Amino acid sequence: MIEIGFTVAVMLGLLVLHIPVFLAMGLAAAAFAFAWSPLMKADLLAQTFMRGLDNQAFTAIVYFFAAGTIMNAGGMSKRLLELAQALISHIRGGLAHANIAASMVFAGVSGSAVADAAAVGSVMVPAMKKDGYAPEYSAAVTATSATIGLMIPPSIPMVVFALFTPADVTLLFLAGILPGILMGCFLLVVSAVVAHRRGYPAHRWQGLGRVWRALQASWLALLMPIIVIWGMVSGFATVSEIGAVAALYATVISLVVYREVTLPGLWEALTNAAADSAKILLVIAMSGAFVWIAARVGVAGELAAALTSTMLDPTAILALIAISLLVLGTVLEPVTLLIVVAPIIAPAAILAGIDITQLGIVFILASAIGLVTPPVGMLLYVTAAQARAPVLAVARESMLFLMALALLLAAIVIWPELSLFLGRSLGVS
Amino acid sequence: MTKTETLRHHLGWALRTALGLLITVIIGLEVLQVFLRYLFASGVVWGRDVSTLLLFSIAWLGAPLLWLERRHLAVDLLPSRLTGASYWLRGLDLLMLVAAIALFIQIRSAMQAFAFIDLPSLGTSAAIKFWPMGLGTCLLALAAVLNMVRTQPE
Repeated sequence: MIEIGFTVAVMLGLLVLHIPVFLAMGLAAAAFAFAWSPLMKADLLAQTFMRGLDNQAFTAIVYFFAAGTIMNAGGMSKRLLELAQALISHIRGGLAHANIAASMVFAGVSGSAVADAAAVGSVMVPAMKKDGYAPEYSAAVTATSATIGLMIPPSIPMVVFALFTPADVTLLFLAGILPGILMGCFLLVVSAVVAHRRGYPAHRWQGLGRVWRALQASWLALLMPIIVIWGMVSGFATVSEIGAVAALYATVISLVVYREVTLPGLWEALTNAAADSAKILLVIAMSGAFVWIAARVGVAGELAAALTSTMLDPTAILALIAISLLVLGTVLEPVTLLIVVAPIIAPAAILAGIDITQLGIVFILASAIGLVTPPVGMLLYVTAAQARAPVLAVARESMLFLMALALLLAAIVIWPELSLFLGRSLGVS
Repeated sequence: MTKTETLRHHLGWALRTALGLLITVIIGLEVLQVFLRYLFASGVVWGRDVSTLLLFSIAWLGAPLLWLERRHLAVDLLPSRLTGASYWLRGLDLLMLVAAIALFIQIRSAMQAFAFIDLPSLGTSAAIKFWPMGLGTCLLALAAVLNMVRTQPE
């Protein structure tokens, strides 16, 4: 256990110094090879980096990034926002509610929380500020609601979790739907309470005609998550194949139907998607060394023995895991957290009697909360920049929303059915 | 524009073009496999291996582009006036350069080890899997050098 502790400590130390994650992981693995050379010969490093990525299923990450980026470039965010505003902007605090609703809908299209925040926030934050909302509150609503992007399928972190653990990605996608909707509902409740207390404005109801027009303009985008789920549950295609089909669908819709993206715009979206995928793929490649080290020193077995010796029931163990993830999530962003921690925790958790799909949902929600908690809440920085508000003020305004999400996390830990119900009722196993 | 800035510009353009082509081909190949399976009940034998090689290429050709643009995933714990300072960034570039050289040496020995493993679908040895990593590592070193000698403020 000391070997993996040393390696992770070196990695964390390098991360603090603002060394890119992939380089910090690579250097930490090299430090392990140097310190325990009989266990790992240095010339194995390049092989472990190659092995880390040597799985065709990782292509799904590239495809879902491409689908989301193309949808964004194709004017999808504008249409989905119009739909959200048409539906609920007439309620007090309507623009904040519309922001959350838009994130829920957008989550089914992009698969990435940062992409959601960038797309929704670029339109909603200025609109909310214009409507009299405090800039830090506008940013807080955008940041916390963008976390839904990690939970509602297609979700890139879910694909990563499934590839690093024995979890099934179809089951994870199904398991994420109900918690994703609940995340939106919990955030809407907080938004309604805040709107009532602060007297935020309501917009005039513009009739069902506006809703119908918005629905007509956006239904093709709304079909995408349905295609993804149907494709996987029906066995039509694997996760990577359905990701590629989703990318093709996004291209056809944006280029032929909506005609809001030009060929150079599409090309730019594709190159951006490839570069964004590379950020994650490199971290995955480097994680090959970590997985090798963890297997070599038998850390999962030691952890499983330690967990079973505590004589705690699975719910208590899952609660401990969730708390640890919340703490780690304050300094590690979701993909790194999933790649480094999930392969170590998952085997031990399964032995302790925890359902791997439920564990996956706990991982995703805890790491989503980490995206909005200082000091390293990536969404805080993105939305604070959009709203031109101080990061700490945005963090303060996010507190109530985060408490609601933490409450949901506790509910998912206590009631496994919240995440497992849909898969079971559809007979997917 | 100085010579190094011109080189930066060309390298960035070449990498972006390569990434655009790679992602187009990988999506096209995957969609083709689905169509072939459902329309003709067949597939391409080399599809899986080529997809994996394209995936490696996206990762390792994306690395130098991200390094040039300083867009890699990183943790922002320290104040940006420190981590964004010129000497700090040059230090990171130097570290990347040394790491890239060390990794390249490792890749050569790994390729020798994998030269004896066959990749039947492509009719070659499994050493081909290290090509994207080798090329990407060289370009990472170049990107680090270009960042180090950069005269324009970042």
